[in-house]
Amino acid sequence: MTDYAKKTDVELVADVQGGDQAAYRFLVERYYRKIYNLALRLVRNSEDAEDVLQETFVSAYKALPNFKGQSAFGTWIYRIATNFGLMKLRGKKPVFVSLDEPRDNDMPNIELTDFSANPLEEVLDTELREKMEQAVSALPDDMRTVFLLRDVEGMSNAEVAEILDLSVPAVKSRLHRTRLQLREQLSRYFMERGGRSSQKAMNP
Amino acid sequence: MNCKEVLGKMSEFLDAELMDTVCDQLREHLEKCEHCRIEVNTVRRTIEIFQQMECKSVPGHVHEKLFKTLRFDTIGDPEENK
Ligand SMILES: [Zn+2]
Repeated sequence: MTDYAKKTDVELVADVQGGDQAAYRFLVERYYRKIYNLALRLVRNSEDAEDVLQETFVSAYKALPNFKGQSAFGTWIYRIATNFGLMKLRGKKPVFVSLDEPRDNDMPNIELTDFSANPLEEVLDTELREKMEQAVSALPDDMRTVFLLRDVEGMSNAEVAEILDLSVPAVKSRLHRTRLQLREQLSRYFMERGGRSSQKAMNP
Repeated sequence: MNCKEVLGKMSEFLDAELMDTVCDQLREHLEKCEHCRIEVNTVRRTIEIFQQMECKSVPGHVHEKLFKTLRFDTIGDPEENK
């Protein structure tokens, strides 16, 4: 029996293209969870995320015979999923209204709390995780898309540029703005959280 | 390098995408400017925090529907021997 689990994406793709349909199952198993998480955070509701998941793997299967492997299978499947996700969003309201002009100049100079000192494991609790989901979900669609692919999924600038048909500088500038925006929110959150815990220390 | 330039280049700095000379200039600035140090540290921390976003598991019915649509059930899923 073939040990599919040990095969690379490239090998599995070749198997599927050679007529071995069972190999596709292993590609799906490798990616469906990631794709579902991306879709859920992109479209922000489970019904649409489920559609995106289905559409992604059905259309990927149909397109796989023509997949030439210029990009990695992972990049390709993320591209398909992202496009389906963006289509869902476009059906709901206009996207990509914000443009890539640097807006750093008109960013108010807010007071920053230095929340970088505590160990990551200490601060990452349920409350912060909830805050993170809210913060990502509140981002404009174009910023959210770039951020999810780049910082949450860990793709490179070049891969994100390919997925979104953007230039690398455009990806970088969107990413930079998004990180700053999320940073302001975390800063405000940690300031408030710090206030709460010192209050607790005073009136136990 | 001044504060404004540092703020503009922070992301690339953290992603190790700056040329060595620019990187050194930025580090030099950070050594003497506490404000920019906090800027850079908090953005770095923001990235680290969001890298830890959870990969949630897919609800059972969603998984099932996907595998049915793709007709994987006909290949024989050990969990489906009902
Ligand atoms: Zn400075």
